[in-house]
Amino acid sequence: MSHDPLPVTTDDLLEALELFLREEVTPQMQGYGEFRTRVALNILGMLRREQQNSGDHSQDLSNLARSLRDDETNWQDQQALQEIKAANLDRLRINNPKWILEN
Amino acid sequence: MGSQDFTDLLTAAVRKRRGNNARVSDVTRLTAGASCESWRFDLSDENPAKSLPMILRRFPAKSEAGKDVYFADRLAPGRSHEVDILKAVGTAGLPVPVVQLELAPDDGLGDGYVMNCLDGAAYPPGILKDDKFAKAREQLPSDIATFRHQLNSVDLSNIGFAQDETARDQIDFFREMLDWLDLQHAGLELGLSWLRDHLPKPGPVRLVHGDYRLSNFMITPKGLNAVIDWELAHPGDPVEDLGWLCVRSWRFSKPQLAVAGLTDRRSLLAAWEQAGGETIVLRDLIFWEVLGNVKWAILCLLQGHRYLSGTDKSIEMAVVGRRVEEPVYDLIRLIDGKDGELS
Repeated sequence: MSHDPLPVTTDDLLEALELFLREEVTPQMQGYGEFRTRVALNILGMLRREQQNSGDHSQDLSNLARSLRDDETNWQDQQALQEIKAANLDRLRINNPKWILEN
Repeated sequence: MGSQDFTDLLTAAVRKRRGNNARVSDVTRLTAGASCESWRFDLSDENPAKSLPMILRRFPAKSEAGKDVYFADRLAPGRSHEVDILKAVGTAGLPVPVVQLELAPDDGLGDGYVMNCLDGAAYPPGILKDDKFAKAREQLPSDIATFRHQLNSVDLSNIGFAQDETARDQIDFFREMLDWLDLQHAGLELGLSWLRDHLPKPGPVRLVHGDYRLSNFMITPKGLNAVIDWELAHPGDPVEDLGWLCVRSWRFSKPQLAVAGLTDRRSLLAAWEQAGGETIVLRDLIFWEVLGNVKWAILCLLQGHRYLSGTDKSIEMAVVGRRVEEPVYDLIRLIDGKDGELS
């Protein structure tokens, strides 16, 4: 027996919330309220990207962080730099993909 | 507090000092500042037609305790000295708002003060885009460098700062703060490791504004009219302000123009020398830009912490806590030579 998929997915619900905020709430807001509504829309964007990506896949770099602190390695370590860049990009792709520059 | 209650308390506070003819009207909360509230209102004495625009800066009663207070104070050393800072900077002849009244505990409005609202916009997207600011955009690099240079003459002795915040002090403090938050963040440790190897030669300690960027400049079509928001001010290296001005987070629609979206770094350094400043090498400016990125990341972490610990459950605290990776991305580019005009 195949189970029925949810008729309205989490993605759909997040989209509905985003549409409601954008189309119905934003036009009624001004000043400080408008600013905070825009913040709320940014949060929904993050949640939708996180949802589509099924969570945060970035590597745990806490050991590397400790080595850098304890001077066991430093900023000149190219491999460390590459790992840190990759983890940073993974997180930015969810939090704010527009921050990533082309070159 | 309802807005009518608030207006009533503010009116009572003003009348206590200016007499019963004083009137407060059009009280509006401004968007800026989450840890500190700013309100704009009109104040008139005898003749309501002759009202003057005023700004109330108010620091709500501190709900932080213990270590939270220590970290908040180290990051915003100017918060408890804003009135003295404005007076000292004004005395040195620089354009800043003039303090009109200081709140007392029995006013029931928390800590804060009222100052006059000066002409100009502190709205970077408009400053960088609108035609009416075209001339101001040409003038600003020189105005900004000149103001920073004149700050060097401010007498620090009447401001009760607890300590200097030199580059080394700040690097140590950032580590202390990461430990307190129990956060092992490789990107930030990379930045701190680079900073420790690139410390500039220490110079004389001066008043540093600490949040020197377009959002805190009152700008008219002619150029810079005043500098506001001294919450992050501290004694330190004046180049810190110029480096902070280059942090990409404040470039808005013009990320390719390093200096606040206005011009490039070399032009800023030329304007600084033009204003009478001693030569600053580009590498030292970049040092402070990298430190600025680490500091902005640390401020994001603190705001996230304020949300998580329940000190401030506002939506902007929660979301700023997620912005840490932006300055980390930018500092990696600087360390990696992808930005910074060094090549």
